[in-house]
Amino acid sequence: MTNYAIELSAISKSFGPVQANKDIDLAVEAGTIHGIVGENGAGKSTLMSILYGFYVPDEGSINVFGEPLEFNSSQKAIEAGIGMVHQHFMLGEPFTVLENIVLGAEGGFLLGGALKKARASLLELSERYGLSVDPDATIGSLPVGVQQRVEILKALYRGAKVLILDEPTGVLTPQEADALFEILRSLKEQGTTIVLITHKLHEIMDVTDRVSVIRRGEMVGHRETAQTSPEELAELMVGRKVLLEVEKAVAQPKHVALSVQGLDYVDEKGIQRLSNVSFDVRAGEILGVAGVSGNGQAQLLEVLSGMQTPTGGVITIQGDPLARTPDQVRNQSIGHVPEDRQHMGLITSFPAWESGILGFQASALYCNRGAMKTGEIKRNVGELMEKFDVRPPNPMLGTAKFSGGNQQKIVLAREIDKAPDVLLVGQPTRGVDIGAIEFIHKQIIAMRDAGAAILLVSVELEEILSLSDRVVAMFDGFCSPDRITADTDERSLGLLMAGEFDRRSSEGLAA
Amino acid sequence: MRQSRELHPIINYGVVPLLQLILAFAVAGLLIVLIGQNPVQAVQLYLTDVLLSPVGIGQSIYYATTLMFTGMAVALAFHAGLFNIGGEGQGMVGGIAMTGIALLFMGHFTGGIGWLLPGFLAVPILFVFAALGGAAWAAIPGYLQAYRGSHLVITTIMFNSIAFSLILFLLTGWFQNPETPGDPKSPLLPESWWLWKLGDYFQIQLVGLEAQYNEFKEQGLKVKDIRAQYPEFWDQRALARSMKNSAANVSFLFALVLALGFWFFVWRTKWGYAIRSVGFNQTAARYGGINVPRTMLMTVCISGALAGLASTNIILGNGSDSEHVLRETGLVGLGFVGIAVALMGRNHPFGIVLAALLFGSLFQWGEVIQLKGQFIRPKLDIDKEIVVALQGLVVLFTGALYLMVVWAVQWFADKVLGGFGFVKEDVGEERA
Repeated sequence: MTNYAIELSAISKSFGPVQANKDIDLAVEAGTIHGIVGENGAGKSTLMSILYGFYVPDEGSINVFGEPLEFNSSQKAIEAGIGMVHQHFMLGEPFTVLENIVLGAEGGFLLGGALKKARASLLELSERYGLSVDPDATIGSLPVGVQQRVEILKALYRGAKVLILDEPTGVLTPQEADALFEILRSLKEQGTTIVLITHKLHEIMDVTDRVSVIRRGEMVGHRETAQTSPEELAELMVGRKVLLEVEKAVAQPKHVALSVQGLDYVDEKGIQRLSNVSFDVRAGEILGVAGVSGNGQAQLLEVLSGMQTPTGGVITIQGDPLARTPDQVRNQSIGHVPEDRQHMGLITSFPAWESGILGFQASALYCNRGAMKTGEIKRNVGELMEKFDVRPPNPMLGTAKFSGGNQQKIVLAREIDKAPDVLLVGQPTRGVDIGAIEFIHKQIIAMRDAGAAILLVSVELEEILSLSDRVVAMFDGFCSPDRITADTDERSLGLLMAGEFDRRSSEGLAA
Repeated sequence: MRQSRELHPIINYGVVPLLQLILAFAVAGLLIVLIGQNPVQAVQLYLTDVLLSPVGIGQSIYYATTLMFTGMAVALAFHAGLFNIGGEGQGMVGGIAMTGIALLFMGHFTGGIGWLLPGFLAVPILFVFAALGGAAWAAIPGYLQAYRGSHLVITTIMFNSIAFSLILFLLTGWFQNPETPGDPKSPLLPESWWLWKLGDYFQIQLVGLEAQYNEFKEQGLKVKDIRAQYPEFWDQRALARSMKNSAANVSFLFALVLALGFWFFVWRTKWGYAIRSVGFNQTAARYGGINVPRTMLMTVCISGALAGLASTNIILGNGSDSEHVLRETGLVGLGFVGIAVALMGRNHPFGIVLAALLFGSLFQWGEVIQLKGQFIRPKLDIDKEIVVALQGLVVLFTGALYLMVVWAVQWFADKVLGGFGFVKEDVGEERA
């Protein structure tokens, strides 16, 4: 009989009318890396939260190493040997690595003893698994990849024999992700069982032994990784055939539509967010901006859309200087699909028909001497929703009620419909289902082919590589020289994303 | 398909507020029991002397008119995510501006040389100045909030205090009625500028009725004979006599029209769109090309203008002939009650009208308890401030504990009624 680390049988869980998990069976063999894939909202995180004791399932049972697990107690899950590394780290930033490791497992009134004991076992653990960290470094000063290592060590310190990682590579550079996978493999060799939750298929192919696919709360298949393909997995996830490669013709770049020279931006707190950023985007091409989140991409989009005033440099649109406010910038025929649709691109409390005109509420299209043309707007937004396959295409429905992908389509529909000369796109597929990703990518390519200049900011390297014609990377507010996408690969882009390029501030001094 | 469930609008907007009211009344009843009085008697007074009495209804409408202005003032600011609690002060300064221009026309400042405009010219001008005064008083806190980040709650509280001092300063000086030294009030405004009120109708009717009465008397009829032989006449005369000072006036209709305008402005114009965008999400508003500080300033100014207009009802629409004057009592606290009205009316003009009528009747109830409680047997010895307590309870249950009631209703509908009262809506695919 096979030795299973985790056995879930017939797990069901619903939140009100939403069935998050339905009759799910999952068996994870001890000492393997088991992948769980599924679209956003398919129920992966719910399932793992049940396993970790955050939720009680409506039905079903869980065995850990053959022993039944009590529900609704993280403490019991930890005692049974389950450790979880969350997508968003649960670390105290001002504390040291050692203090974070002990947090919640101090055992006694005085910290001193626990820290001493922890130091010894931490050193032992990092040696055994090759996870080197400085126990006395403060978390805030460590790179994200190392912070993640601390999370893993924390789980191991608590005696985890099964490690669950929830979307672990979302915040990592490709090099950091590779390092993580090395760690996972060595953990496996030492006998640890690993459950890897992700929506990135190539990670599954790279590192797992077996893989289970969840679609809409149901387990739709288990595969030996060696005997499956990304195409099959994608089809299982979405329920139909999916094109993973973006089909596009060779770009036909024309004149420079958007030009950025020596752009500097210091925010209200006095932090230099953009340093000497320069690039051109031509009509009919897509310039990709790669980079780990938080390296100035958000600020670049805000400056280019007129929401922030740059502190230096020159931005021109079709040869004219960029206007100062978002409404004037919009009048210069610049569309902007913001990185954060929930907090910027839409007003979630509005019905879809009102969100569908944000930014154009005062235009003659929708407004006559101050009075909104309500009927016209509803019809127009309804048509756009049909055209962009928003589900359901009901403009009266509250914006917050649409799924992430459909919200994104509302934003895209609004911006693309106005056929801007320049389109700024931030994270177009963040939190979007695979089926919708395909659609969104096609729309962006169609915009390019229609002659728009597109600036695409994304942390998904795959997306950058498959969509853009040229690519730059951002690191700490600096922007790398551009590369032709066809002549580059993940590895060399990864180096740029890690700051391996000549960085000069606008004063011309090496930084 | 994913579905969302929400309470049916009738339950959400009808049953829930009703329950909140009942809870507030129940707790107020407990309070009355605690001070050793009979709550049943108090409720009886509310029914007989407020809800079922023509005088009570008229006075309730009069107070409700003021509350509609101040309630809309608070609600408009709420839509921009701002809390304007300066309605009291803005109403006061609206009254000052209006009285100031009125006194100028009356020649108060120029030794009697003035120009007494006819009513149809003067009244619109007075309304405009009331609005301008309120807007001006709101503009400074509004500017400080929008461009300097000073919290509107703090600044409007301070501006209320300043307004209290300002009005006293003026009423004991420049605006003082020279004939009543020691009584801080302005001179009486000319009768042609007063608003047409319900009492005027009965006053006209009463002229004929009194003539008839005198005729009966001359015929040698005794009072009890008239009463016995002409009961209809007697009732009519009694009604007219009690209603001749009824203060419900045309500004109630004006406030109703304004409520319609409020709805159109907030939900059907680009300015309303901007206001609500700023209220929900300033980042998204900025993204949408909306000038956030300017929108805030505009909203607070219009809010102040609405509060300022409340003073027209109190000064030009007063029920008492001698009270068409500016007094230091300003909006008599109805500026603050406007907050409760906006809360209970859920910032929607329709709700505000209903809530204003309710709170207006409560205000009248307080007057009745105070005046009549002493004369009924057994004596009802409650201060009219009980109404303030009740208003506080209504705010508590409709505002702070709003969700408690909603959850209770949802739980009841779900567990006891088996899902009755919910509307289901298809919202498509899984949410991310």
